[in-house]
Amino acid sequence: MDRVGGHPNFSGVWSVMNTANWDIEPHLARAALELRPGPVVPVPAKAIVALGAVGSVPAGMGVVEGGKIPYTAEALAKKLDNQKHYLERDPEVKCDLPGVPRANYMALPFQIVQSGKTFLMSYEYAGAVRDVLFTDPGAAPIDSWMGQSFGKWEGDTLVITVTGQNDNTWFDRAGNFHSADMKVVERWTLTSANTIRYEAQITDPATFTKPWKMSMNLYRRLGEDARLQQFKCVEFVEELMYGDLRKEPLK
Amino acid sequence: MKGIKLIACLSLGAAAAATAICVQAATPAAPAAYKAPLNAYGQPDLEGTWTNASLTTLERSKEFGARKALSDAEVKKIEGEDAKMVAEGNAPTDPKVKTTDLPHECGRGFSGAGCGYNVAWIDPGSTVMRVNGEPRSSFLTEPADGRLPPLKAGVVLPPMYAHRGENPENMTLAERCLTSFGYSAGPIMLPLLYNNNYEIAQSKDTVAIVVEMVHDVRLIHIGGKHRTDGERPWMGDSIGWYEGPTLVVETTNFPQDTALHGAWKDLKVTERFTRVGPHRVLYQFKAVDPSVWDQPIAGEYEFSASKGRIFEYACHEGNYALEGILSGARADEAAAAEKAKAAAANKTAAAAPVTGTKKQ
Repeated sequence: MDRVGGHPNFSGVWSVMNTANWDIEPHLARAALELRPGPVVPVPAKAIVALGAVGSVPAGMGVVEGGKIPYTAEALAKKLDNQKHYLERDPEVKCDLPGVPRANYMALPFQIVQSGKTFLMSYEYAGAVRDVLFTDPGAAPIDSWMGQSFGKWEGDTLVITVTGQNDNTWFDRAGNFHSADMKVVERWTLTSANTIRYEAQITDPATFTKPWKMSMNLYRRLGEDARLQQFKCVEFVEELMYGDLRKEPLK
Repeated sequence: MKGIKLIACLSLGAAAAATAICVQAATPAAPAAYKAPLNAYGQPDLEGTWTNASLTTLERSKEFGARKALSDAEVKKIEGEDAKMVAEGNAPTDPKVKTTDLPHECGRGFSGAGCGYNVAWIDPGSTVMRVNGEPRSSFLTEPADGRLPPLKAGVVLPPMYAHRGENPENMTLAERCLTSFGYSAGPIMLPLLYNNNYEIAQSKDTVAIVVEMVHDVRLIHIGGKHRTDGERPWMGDSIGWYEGPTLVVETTNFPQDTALHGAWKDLKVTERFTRVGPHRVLYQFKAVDPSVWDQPIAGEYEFSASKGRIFEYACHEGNYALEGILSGARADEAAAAEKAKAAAANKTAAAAPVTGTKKQ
């Protein structure tokens, strides 16, 4: 195992090969992220229809251990309501920063830059970035989109506690959400030269009846695939967010 | 608050556009007494959080001519005037004062309502830049007068604010939260009114430079090759290598949107990072674009260790200013249209013959 500073070296470009960003719970493929009642079965929301099959949701085995997220009754109702209003509520639609853990299993890769003392994660999506602190920083001074990451090594596993995230981020495109009190404890373990086992325990009493865990594999990108690109999506959502404010709005 | 921030930033953007640029390179030798540490990969260790905040600017004031070093008296004057401005800015404001009562000039080119931030919100540095201890009159050292060379004949800079307010795409990249104001991310990396902080992280084959504004990360591929597919990513395409204690970074393939004072298509920027002390990194730069300038521009300054860590700069997520600007422009248009309509109606009424029905 390649090591740096005495620890496993995670440096490289990584990504998942699952559909967790669509829905972290087990799911079959469905017609769209936002549906409306149809004469026979639910059909895609009007704004999604034009995308056809591209707007549909691929199936997935899910990454939530046990399958279901233990929502409180009130929180579950909100999650279902989020699905009904997906297009206007998912922060990814507006290119907002993704938060943790979602950043790690979006369709786009991220790069870890690790030395003997630094562990930096640079995400292709929206240029999000995390710097893992190895000296206890205390409580986060203010909530932020990507939160505060405090890491420590437990043998060859890097354990990162993420706090101080705001309540604007989601877990996926299926309306799964959390409060600003959420604590995420990530466990990063190299299981081979080119694979990472990633686990995240979620604790958020305001939203869930008990802590729960997600886990999945991350795969190293090799060769020509191992070069992080840029996905500055802000400019891609300007028509969505500001189109009605143009001097001459498009028809 | 957002609107106030925007005004200040716009002024900065305009100033940057007017003076922009860059740099060059001198070749100051690292102090012999200091031996830069190596990281776990055996590379020069440049990691840390750094700042280039400084009262020294890219270009040199003409009063200093070809002199790049400032005298003690000049340093005292520059830093003293800044301290005085900061003290005045920190003085309590009479709550009865309206924006129309704001001072006409409030420093750094700002005036009136454009005074923007209270000084507590900005961080442009409080000292002049020192390179190897020498106080400097500019970052630029080449050309010798410390000023940007003239553009070659026929080179025309696109108007910065054409059609401003008509569409989001007509606004500056910084107002749209696509990149920083000025050239914070670079290359060339230059300080701004605030958020002049960077973090450098190194792996065996990559150097990452995190730029506080706008949480940009420039990834430098050590031992890599420039892309040849014609694509031009944000911040260009950076490759690097180590020369003894120095990280050398070469960047090409700049996009036109982030042109450096008009240079982008044939622009090549070479940066050299050398740790010259526990808390200092010498930054030297050289920019060449034969289609824009007849000569290279080059310069240098030193990063100093930042006291804190970098906090998240989530620009887009709170960019109420852009919506406000566009909404304001539409409101202005509506008001102008209403005024014109009223004026036309008055003109018509004034020109119309007096008519009426007399009672018989």
